Amino acid sequence: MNSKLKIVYNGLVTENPTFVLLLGMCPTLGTTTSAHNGLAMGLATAFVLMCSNAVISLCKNLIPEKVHIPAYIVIIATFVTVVQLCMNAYTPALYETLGLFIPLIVVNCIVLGRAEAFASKHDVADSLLDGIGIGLGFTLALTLLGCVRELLGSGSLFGFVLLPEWTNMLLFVMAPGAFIALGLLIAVKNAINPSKS
Amino acid sequence: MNYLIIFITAVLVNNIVLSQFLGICPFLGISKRLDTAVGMSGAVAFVMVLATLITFLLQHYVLETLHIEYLQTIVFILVIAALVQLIEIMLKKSVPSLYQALGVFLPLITTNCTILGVAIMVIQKQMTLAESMVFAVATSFGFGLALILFAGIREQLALSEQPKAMEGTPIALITAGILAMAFMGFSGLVG
Amino acid sequence: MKKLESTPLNMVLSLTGICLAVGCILSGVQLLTAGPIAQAETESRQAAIRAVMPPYRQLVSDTLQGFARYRGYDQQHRLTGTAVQAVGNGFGGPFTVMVGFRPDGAITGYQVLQHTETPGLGAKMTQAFQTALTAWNPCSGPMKVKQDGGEVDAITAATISSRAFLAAVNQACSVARGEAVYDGSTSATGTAGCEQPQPVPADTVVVDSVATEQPVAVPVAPRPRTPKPAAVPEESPGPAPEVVEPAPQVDTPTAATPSVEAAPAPIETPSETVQPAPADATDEKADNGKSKRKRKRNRNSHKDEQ
Repeated sequence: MNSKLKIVYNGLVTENPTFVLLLGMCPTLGTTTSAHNGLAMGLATAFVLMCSNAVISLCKNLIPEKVHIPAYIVIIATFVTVVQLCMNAYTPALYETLGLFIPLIVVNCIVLGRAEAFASKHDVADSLLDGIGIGLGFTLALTLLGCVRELLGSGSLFGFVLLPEWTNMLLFVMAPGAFIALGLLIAVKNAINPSKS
Repeated sequence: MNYLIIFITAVLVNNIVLSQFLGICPFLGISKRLDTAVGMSGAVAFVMVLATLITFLLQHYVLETLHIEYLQTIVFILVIAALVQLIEIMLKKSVPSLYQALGVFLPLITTNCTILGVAIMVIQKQMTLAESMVFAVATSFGFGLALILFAGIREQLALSEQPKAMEGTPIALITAGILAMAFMGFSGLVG
Repeated sequence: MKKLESTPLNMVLSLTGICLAVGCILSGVQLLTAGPIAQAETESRQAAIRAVMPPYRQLVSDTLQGFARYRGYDQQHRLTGTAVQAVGNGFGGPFTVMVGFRPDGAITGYQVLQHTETPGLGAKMTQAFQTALTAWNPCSGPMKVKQDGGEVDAITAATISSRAFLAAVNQACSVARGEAVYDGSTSATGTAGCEQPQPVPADTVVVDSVATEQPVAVPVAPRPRTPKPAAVPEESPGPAPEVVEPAPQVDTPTAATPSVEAAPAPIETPSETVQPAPADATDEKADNGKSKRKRKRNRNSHKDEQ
């Protein structure tokens, strides 16, 4: 496979942040009450990932080793603030729903982890592709979990009601349901593709 | 009385881990053993109270006065990162025994959602300084409670047999879900 | 290019450089988005108000004992409706509801702006009470669930949320009428709107114009129904600070339609006798003649109570 595409595939499948690396659990559980919310959160995080990966890769030689953590944090926080301001201005309803989790993208282990593990060691193009891959993988995981929870919990998918109300298992749109749904999804993934550890 | 309500709400009704989904990474990662869980809770409590105090003061006396509230995220996370560094250095020099006990967890706390989450929440809920302090103490108490309970359960889980696909994170998540269900019973406790 | 050495000078330089760049980028983005953010906020609030109230051309907002109240006026500066934002203590935490009222005190609709109730139980309050509230007679007393001796069906297995919701709406009713806020005691509110209300002055007033013309510029006195202004000002309750000086005057033509602010009973009798036919016609145009029927009902019920 083309090496560039391989980077994207890596982020999407081989090293999927939610199902394989088990990182970034907080927004995964907190924002997936519906497929739409999960998708939006995933895309916001993907945007921050792409931009921070690219910029950190650009500046990696200008940042001395000892101060690299605070420098990365500032760069990531900048993009998170940009996302915050834009969402507040142009998608206010989504901003209200996602609430606290938007500024919390800055402490998402995935973003800082990827900056440290990949962007600081590769060139800009590769880092950007890695950001896209991991971001897409995260979005995929969040949307999948959101779909499962929305379908089981409210009988709808992206707002379209599919199942009658008596089939709704309300637990899945509440806190415990998030844990259980994610646990079951990871178990399914383990059954299909056992992790090597 | 108001403070008691804030305390009980933060610990039981709106537990930071089991209802608000903050701090899941350490919750799943550190809770495999009881003593590490206790260590982590102590470190988080220490940092959370200090961080909330400093970020609260910064927000009200610097960010709001200069009308640069949009810099909140950056300023808060930098304060937390700097605080963690400072505490690490101070502990290493002054209380080495405590540093040994907490030391390995401290750098992990920078990316802990709970600290930043609580700092932002007290601003969003427009609490007074005293209320935010109570809230921070209560939240760290709730975090510790959830962590220690979970660690106790996981130590038992490690000794039992599970289907291959469920081993590790899946069974931990499902157990956390049942624990969250138990905590749901507290809603309506206050007010 | 080799990575920079970690000398103190390099560290300070790179961090300062990053902070400067970051500062510029963020101030730029903030300037760009400040306008749309403010606009989105006003629009969402106005959307909620528009959804619950009869149509209006101009909006005046004030606060009464801490409750935000929005009154809408049409092109002839008559009151078309009132919206009140109330906060209640639900099962899962506080919730905010915007309730819309016609000038006679009947509810036109409500919208729950924010809540943290359990989905499928307390969360049903967003729709469950629409029919019950719109069918409520403002002169019959505060709303209560059936368990408390009232007539409203509570949500199954969500009695606490239902009670909290009705308590919030009762408070909104008393605010809409310009009275002291309902506190749950049996003697307060409910029938007060059909007798003499105890007016309470508003805390602050803001005129928020949708139309371009200001009510100040249009005096009401020259109109044929001049006798009314003599009756109205002493009756019109609370809100009469300078900024909304026009409000009592604006209320004047609507004394013909029972304005929630003005005491309906004493004014209605003179208005009925003095009022020439054209005024009736315009009033009916304003509120589809419903108020005229209600007016008669209110007047008669008041007479009964006398």
